[in-house]
Amino acid sequence: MAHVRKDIRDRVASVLTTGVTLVSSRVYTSRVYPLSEAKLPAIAVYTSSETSNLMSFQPPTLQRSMSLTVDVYARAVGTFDDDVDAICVQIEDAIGADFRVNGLAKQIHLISTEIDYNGEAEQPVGIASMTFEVAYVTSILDASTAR
Amino acid sequence: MTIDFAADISTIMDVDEFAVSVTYDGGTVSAIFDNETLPIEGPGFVPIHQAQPRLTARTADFASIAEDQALSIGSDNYKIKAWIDDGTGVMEIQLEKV
Repeated sequence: MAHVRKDIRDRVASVLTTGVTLVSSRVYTSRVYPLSEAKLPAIAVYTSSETSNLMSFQPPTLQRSMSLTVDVYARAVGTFDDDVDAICVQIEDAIGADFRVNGLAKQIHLISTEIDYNGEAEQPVGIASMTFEVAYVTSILDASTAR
Repeated sequence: MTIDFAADISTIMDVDEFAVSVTYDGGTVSAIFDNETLPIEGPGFVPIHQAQPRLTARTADFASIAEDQALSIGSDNYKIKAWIDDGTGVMEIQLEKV
């Protein structure tokens, strides 16, 4: 059985694959290798950190707060900044329309966006890192089933 | 003894040595073209690998250099985006692929 964290990550990636048409299905989960020009524009989804606390003793239940990061990579002459923002719009709209992550979470919402531009290469690059907070609940005895 | 530095630069910038032909400003000049692939870092987890086209040229060949001037190398077209003149008659030019 998979951890609910994996199910949430996969669900978000699926929603983005369908909803973010600007990246033409180039959505990766937990990618660790560099992206080449042929793979741009692209999105990568990571579940990077999580905290939890005891919600109830009976039944023993954990309330979890997870940081889910969506990285955006775009490359274009002249429109790299607008392209990043346009992709961010589609990401926010797609995730916002799945507020309970298909029943896996209590809620998901955007808490920060960091954007950087680089002109050192043959075409300008824009990279955005969007952090979402995901609240979900599991039994202490079963981390693979959302409550 | 004087060193004929200009002659040395001309030798290095010869297309029979290290240089390539560059179409620029209605003519052809010779310059050294470097197109190394480098990792571009940002706030994301992974870098982007992208080529970084640079031209090392005689300053005299680019006396009227300006941002967004066009040049071509082979079948590839570029725009000049930035440059550094080292003060010895040689400059490095940063290119953007069109």
